[in-house]
Amino acid sequence: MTVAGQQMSRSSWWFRLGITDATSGTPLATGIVSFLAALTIGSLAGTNIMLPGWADPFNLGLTAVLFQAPLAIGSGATAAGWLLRHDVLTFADTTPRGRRAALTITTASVLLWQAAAVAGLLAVVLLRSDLAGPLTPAMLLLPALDVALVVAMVLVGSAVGSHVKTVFGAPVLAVGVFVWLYASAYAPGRWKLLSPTYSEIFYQNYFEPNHALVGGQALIATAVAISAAAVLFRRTAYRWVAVGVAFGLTVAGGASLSVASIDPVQYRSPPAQAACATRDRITLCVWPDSSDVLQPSLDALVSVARSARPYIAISGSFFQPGLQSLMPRGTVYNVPATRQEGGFDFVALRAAVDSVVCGKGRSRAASEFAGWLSARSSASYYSASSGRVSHLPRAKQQYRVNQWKSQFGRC
Amino acid sequence: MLNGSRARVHVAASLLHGWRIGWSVGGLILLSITLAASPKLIVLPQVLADSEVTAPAAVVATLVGSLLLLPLCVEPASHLIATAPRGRQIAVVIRLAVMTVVAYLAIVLPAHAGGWAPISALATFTGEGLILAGTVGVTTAWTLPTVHCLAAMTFGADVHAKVASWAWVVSGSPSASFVTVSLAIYAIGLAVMDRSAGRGRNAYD
Repeated sequence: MTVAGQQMSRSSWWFRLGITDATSGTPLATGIVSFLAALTIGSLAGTNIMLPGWADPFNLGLTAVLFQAPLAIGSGATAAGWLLRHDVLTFADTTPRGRRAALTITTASVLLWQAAAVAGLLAVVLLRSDLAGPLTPAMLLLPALDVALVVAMVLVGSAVGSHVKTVFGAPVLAVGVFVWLYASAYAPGRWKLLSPTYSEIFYQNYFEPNHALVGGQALIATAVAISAAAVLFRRTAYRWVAVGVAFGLTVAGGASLSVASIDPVQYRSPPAQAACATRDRITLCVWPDSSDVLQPSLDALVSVARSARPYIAISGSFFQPGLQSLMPRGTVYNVPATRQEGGFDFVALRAAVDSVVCGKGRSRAASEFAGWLSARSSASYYSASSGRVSHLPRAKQQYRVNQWKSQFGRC
Repeated sequence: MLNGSRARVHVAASLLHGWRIGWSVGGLILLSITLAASPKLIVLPQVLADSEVTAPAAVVATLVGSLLLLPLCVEPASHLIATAPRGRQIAVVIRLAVMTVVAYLAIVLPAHAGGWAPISALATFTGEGLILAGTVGVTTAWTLPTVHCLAAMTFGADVHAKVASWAWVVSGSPSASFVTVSLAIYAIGLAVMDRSAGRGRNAYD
């Protein structure tokens, strides 16, 4: 802002932003509501169901844009709309730097509050989470997309608000953004690429966000933010530079999304060496991050294998998902999502069954075999009716097991 | 000087006058049409629930209904209202109350929804908006009901799909105590608006 031709110094600009504009008027009113809502939700959200590591808290923060993005766009529209309705922009047009200066400082004030809301929610969630897990560069794409979306929403809101006088503008934009986020989350097929939230995902330690998908969406969100800034700060020399950059980012983001799968997760790069243990001719390898579950998992597998004797030998290699490249032969062993008692027995039973049925897991024979093995082991997951064979005399049990094996074939 | 009957006519006319009533009524008609074509139950995007959580569409639509009522708080010549007879001052509140009933009917009739859930949600959202409109200004009054509704829709249920107490507004069957709280919020909102109008405060700011 200029007064009588004097340029406001950089330090006084920040002083005015921090002391005056961000702490009064519409930026303060909308900002406080957004910030307090973020802290409240960050404190109330149940983090006990999240898996260890950084990806789940980051993902929860990103999912919170379901209510933060509508607030952000509405706040931007409210602040800029207030300037327009009260003729502040008309007055600013009579100054050397024009309405751009007034819009800049107001939009920056709104951005400050919305950034504080995003950071506050993320900080509270991180403090309440178990971070003893992997942190990979791809996981940082989640908060990057979170920030890019909120910044884009504030700038789009300001751009619209600086042109639309109606008091309905802000709530209409807020509801519209929520409808977009809601509808795209339930969209079929590749329409789901339009959804920047992945609420149904929990990241096992061998998963990380899909680079192409999340990265592409972050690029497009950044392009939207820059485009809105170009509309907001028109009549400046940087406008066409901004349009060019936004176009480049849109092309890059679109290219990334065009090759991306709609699955929001992908396997992490496999480690140089897995954590392995062997007992009773059973080898189990897990990710180094999961070495704490190696022994209880092996105990459970050995226990299931012993319960199958002498009818059938369960042996060989088992590995956690994502280690296929290190262990070309073997059976996938899914570490239980929660470390509850009995959880290892169940996943060990699943892995043991999978190692025998040779890809025919959906057959009736596989179901009967799983029921029989479940009844003989401590993993009582399957219904009791399917485990009746375990009460038959030994010869009859052997006969049924041989029948099942003949249907499974050799892997 | 107006005599008593003419004054009452003026008060009645002022209840229906103005473009803001037009915007609100137009928006409510659109909302009714949308609800008539919508499913009766919608799935809420509850982030933490491991099973589906639904709410009546009419309950979620009350947010839009309450936002459409907020512009009615605006009085272009608020200083005249402050010096007007009490009958004209209270017209602001009467207009809001009448339009709240109209909004309720516009939501529940096409949605074939009944019960206390839409009443509770509409009263809560409208009351929250009125409290903010009467204290801070109508410009930012949309924030509180919006954040309450959206946060309840997204983070209001736990892993067992149980709706938290603070998210009763999206519950299909709120308890009597929550209905009472909702109606109290609405009553406080109307009182705040009445006080604001009596002081000649321009809710537009």
